[in-house]
This record gives sequence, C-alpha cells and structure tokens, in this order.
Amino acid sequence: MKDLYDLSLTSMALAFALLIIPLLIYYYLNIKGMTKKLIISATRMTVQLVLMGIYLKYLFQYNNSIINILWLLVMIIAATFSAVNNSNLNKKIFILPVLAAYSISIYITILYFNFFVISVQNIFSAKYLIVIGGMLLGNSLRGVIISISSFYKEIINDKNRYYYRLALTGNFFDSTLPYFRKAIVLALSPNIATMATMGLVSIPGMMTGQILGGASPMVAVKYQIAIVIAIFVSTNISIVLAIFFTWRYTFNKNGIIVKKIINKKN
Amino acid sequence: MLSIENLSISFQNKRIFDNFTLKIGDKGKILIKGQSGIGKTTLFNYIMGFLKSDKGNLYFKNKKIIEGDFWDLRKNISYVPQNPDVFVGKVNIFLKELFSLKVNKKIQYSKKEIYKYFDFFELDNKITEENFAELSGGEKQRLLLVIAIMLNRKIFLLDEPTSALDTELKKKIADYFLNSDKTVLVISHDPQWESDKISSLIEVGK
Repeated sequence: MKDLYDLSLTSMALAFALLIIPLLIYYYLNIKGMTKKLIISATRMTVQLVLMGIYLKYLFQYNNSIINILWLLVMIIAATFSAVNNSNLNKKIFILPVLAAYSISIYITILYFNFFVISVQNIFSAKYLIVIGGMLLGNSLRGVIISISSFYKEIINDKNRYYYRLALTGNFFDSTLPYFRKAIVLALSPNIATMATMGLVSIPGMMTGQILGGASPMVAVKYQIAIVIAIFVSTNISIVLAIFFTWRYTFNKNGIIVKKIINKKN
Repeated sequence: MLSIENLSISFQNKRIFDNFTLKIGDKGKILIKGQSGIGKTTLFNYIMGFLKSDKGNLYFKNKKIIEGDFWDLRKNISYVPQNPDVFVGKVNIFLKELFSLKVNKKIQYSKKEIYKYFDFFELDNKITEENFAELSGGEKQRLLLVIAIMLNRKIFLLDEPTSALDTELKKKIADYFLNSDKTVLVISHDPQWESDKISSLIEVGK
C-alpha cells in the first residue's frame, strides 16, 4: 500500500463539497424530493461504509474461519431481505427459497474461486471470503429478483396462454419452460452485454481500487476478469435454484399457481 | 371415457353447476350452451384441473382423478381455448416447438401432413411464415383446430371453436368433429353444432 495516499478528514470534506453542485442543480430546476433523497442516501452511504470499514478491520485482524463463514452468511441474509423487500414479490413465500438459492450459489462460487482460481492458503480467510463474497452478492441479486418476477408475472398475467401449455404439454417442466427461458434471458442479457464492453472505455471499480492499492495493472486485470466470470456464474446458479426452490411453494400439484405471488404496492 | 359425478362448482360466487352428473362415452359428443359470461368454460377448466370444484368427482376411464392425476388426463385432451391468443412469435416456430415436446414425440409431424389439414380448413400455407399475433381471429381458431386434430388425443375440448368463422366453415368444422370417432365436448352458440350426432346437450344456467 506504499503508493496509496490516505484521505484526511479535510479531503473527505472536500469530496462531500462536490455534492453542492447537484444540490444547486436540483434547487434551481426545482426538482422536488431529490435534495432530500440525496442527503439521506449520501448520509446512509457514509455511515454504512464507515461501519463496514470498522468491522472489516476487526474481521481481518481476527481472521477466524468460522466467524468469516458466518459473517458472509449474515451478509447474504441481509442482502436477501433487502432485495426481496424492495421487490413486489410476496415476502412470506420468497424469502426462504431465495435465501437458500443465494447461499448455495455464493458459497459454491466463492469456494471454487478461492480454492482453484486464486489458490489461497486458507480459502476461508476474511480478505478473500468476505470481500469477494460481498462483491458477488452485490452484483447478482438484481438479476435474481428480475428473473423470479418475470417468471411469475408472465404466467399470472396471461393465464390463457399458460393454461393452453398446461393442457398441451402434459408435464410441469415443459409447461413452464418458455417462462423459465425468458426469465433467464431477461435477467442475464445485461450482464452479457456489459461483459462485451468491459475495458473499452471505463475502468471497472474493482480494478481502480487494486491499482490505487498498488497492484500492477495486469494483476488487476486478471482479477477483474476472474471476478466478472464468478459474478456471472453465481447469478446463473442463483436464478435457476431460486426458481426451482420456489416451485413447491407456489404451484399446486396440478401446476396452478395458488399463492399470492405479487404484492400490489406499485 | 369421462364421467362427472355430483359436481358443484361456482363461478364468480355463483353456483353454475349444482349436483351435476354426466357420463360421456368413447365417441360421445357433448354440446354445452348458455348465455355468454355465465361460466361455461368453468366446466373445461374443471376437467383439466385448472380449478377446483366445491364438490364432486371426475373419472377418466373409470379411474377417479385426484390432485396430481391431471397431468395424465391432460395428455389425453386436445384443447382449443376460446381466446386463441396462445403464442407469441412465428407460427412455424410454434408448430415446431409443439411437436417436439416429449408428450407429442410419437406424432408424425411433417409439413405435408399439416398442409393437408390447412387445405381442408381453407388456411393458406403461407401463414406458417407469419407472426402468430398477426393472424386473424378466424385463422388462429382454425390453426388451433388443426393442431388439436394432429395431436391425435382421445378427447377434444373445444371452447367456442367456430365463433370467428363464416357459416360454411362453421358447418364444415362442426361436421368434421361430430363425425369423428373421438370424444368431443364443445361449447358453442353456433347452430351448426346442433345435430342429431350430439349425445347430450347441456344448457348452463337453466
């Protein structure tokens, strides 16, 4: 970390000072609500990240495998709750299956990554398990929620089409297959598109961090590629598992959706 | 083939079948009539397991159908829904997908075969190149009827299958199904279906 300048409190204050520009814009354009939203969000971000800085410091210090595994689980639970709460999926039905799908896919991906790809000595070390796990987590939940919502909404919104398929295919898998396909395409196409433009213009956030932290650009690039692949794969696994795990709660034995899937709040 | 015993079923909080019993033979032809919106389709939805009855039993080949058995029953049913909008995309993709399903593997599907039926139902072969959504209501109905026939299953459930067709076609299609050696249940307002071939006439809401 020899090359990295720490940021003093004054520097941080100056960084925050930049926010005056958007605040002025909202004031003059009289955009209602944005000012308040920005202040709340910026405050939350600051508090949350400072807290993260504190706990990561201690986690790195102790570096106890069991604590690390449990901590990642806490992060997964928190992320799942927040994602499901912010979607209009029925919480009661979806929290547990999504949590299960998510935990399995994150742990599988991260352990493979640490063991085979990076070959860390202790695959449960905080630096790799929690930091990379957190990275996977933050980048795949969106896709999972989009795909679950799409899967169920398409079935519910056009019953006529779904019933025709039920009558025609005579089995559950074939009846739901087009919806499954569409859910995957919808959720993952953006990731595939982003992959193709990566490195073209902007420098990905993780690489910036590593380079500032003293890593050589080539090392940062290799990590970036491996992480992008890991994120993509874990999102795929999560989506498939999440839809598999929810089936038993949402459909009856005849393939009909019996539960209230969507909360109408929006 | 099919029998319904003491069926009581509600639609929009109204009892539309009350202690209703019906036995349908192998070649039975059942015509279901009644005002629009009264819930005739409910009977089909019940037979296919899309909704539950308040009371009553369903038998297929003398075997009582319970929850979970409907998958096998559906494999014996060729269904034509009242609303023919059942697919998004090109017609030939629709056909290809349908006939490559596991349940339909035994069916000999070829363009020649399907065009034979197109010819009979006065459909243009070119519609296979079109988007399903762009077909007219009558074309969609006839396409779904052709598919239903090609599926070669034991029971036809036809929900207003001729509503968008002209008189001549109505007659041709009604005659085709009434003379087939399969079990046919049809919901229709069209008088072309009222024939001496009908084994039972059910008037819903009377």
